[in-house]
Amino acid sequence: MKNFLVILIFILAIILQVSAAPFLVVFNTGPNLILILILTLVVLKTFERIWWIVVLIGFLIELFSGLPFGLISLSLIGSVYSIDWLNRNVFSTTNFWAMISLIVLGSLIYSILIIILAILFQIDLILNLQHLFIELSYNLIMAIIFLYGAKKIFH
Amino acid sequence: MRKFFSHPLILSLLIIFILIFFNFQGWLKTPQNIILKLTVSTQEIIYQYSLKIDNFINFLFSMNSLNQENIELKQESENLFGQVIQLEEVVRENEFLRQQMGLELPKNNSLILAHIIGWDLSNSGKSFLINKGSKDGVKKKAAIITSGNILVGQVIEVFDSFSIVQSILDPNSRINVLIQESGITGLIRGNQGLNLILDLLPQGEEIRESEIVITSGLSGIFPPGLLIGKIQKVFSLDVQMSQTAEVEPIADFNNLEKVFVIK
Repeated sequence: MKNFLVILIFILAIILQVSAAPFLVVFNTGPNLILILILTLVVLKTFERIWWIVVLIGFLIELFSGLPFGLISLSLIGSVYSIDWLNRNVFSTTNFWAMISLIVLGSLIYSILIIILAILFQIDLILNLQHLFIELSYNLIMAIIFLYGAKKIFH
Repeated sequence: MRKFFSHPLILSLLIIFILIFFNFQGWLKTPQNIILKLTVSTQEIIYQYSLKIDNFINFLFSMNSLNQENIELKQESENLFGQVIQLEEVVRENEFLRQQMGLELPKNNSLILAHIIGWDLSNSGKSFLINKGSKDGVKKKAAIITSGNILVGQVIEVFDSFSIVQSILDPNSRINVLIQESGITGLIRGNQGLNLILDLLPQGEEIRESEIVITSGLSGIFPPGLLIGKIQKVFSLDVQMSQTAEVEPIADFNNLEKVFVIK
């Protein structure tokens, strides 16, 4: 039942990201609702339990993206796995701010992986330092909102 | 070996690579169509309402400058009215001369009206989804324009009832263009999603700000004469082989709702 609810939330988030998020753009950068939702989920759960959700959501995102197929899924799985590893091996406590730091770090890893894969796929991206900074700040605000929501669902 | 493949990371990477292979073979078109069909109505409603809310917020913020803007627009409208009458006369003359010389009249493009139902999910690209696909006659690489013959993008992926359009703002977009007044040709590309960069302009040519940039039709992909933007700034260094210019797009991408696909 919980898994069904999670998938339903993600599908709603994808629809919102496609149709409403373009209007929340500040300095040409909008929030990445789905990335924050996935990172929130992996911080609260473990990679072993949610990897299939990440693959499924990655596949759905690819459908609505103009980027080469696989670029987003690979970046997503890479960032989610890194965050899970950091959560288990580096962060000793999992308080609210540790979780927020992990999500922002995950967002940064995602952007770095996108850049690396874009070089491999030989495509140009909208990505510079200003863009990255605004996106991270935006994601930080979203992460704080989502974590409160997720805590209500899982606890 | 079995333990290696049952590791969640390896398993997920394996699935992603299989999906990439399936997509490369074109075997994912059917599931893609089904998912898009299931979500399209909700997407369209949310997009329309978001656009209305955005317009309302913009209206609230711009209330102070509306009066001045109105006066300027009235003046511009009067000027343009005069120009339209002159141009209509030129068109009539042109048609008459073409008939006299036995030349063919230029073909009118056949257009398909489409609605935008969403923008790219990632912040890294600038593409959008339209509600018309192969069933409606949309083909890959078709040019997308908005009212006033303004180029906004090109179809990069076609499904049964939907298509993905790469906007001219996307960093991967490349269009052969020319400067209307001088006829100087160049290549235009997206610049971090904000404006456009006009490249490969020959050194030594004088390029002025506010000049209009249109498609040259050189590659054969885009019909010639489609409006793109106005030159904002010119960058010219003697050490470089060519000049570069920053171009402001004419299309208002923040309020795009309806577009036309050129058949």
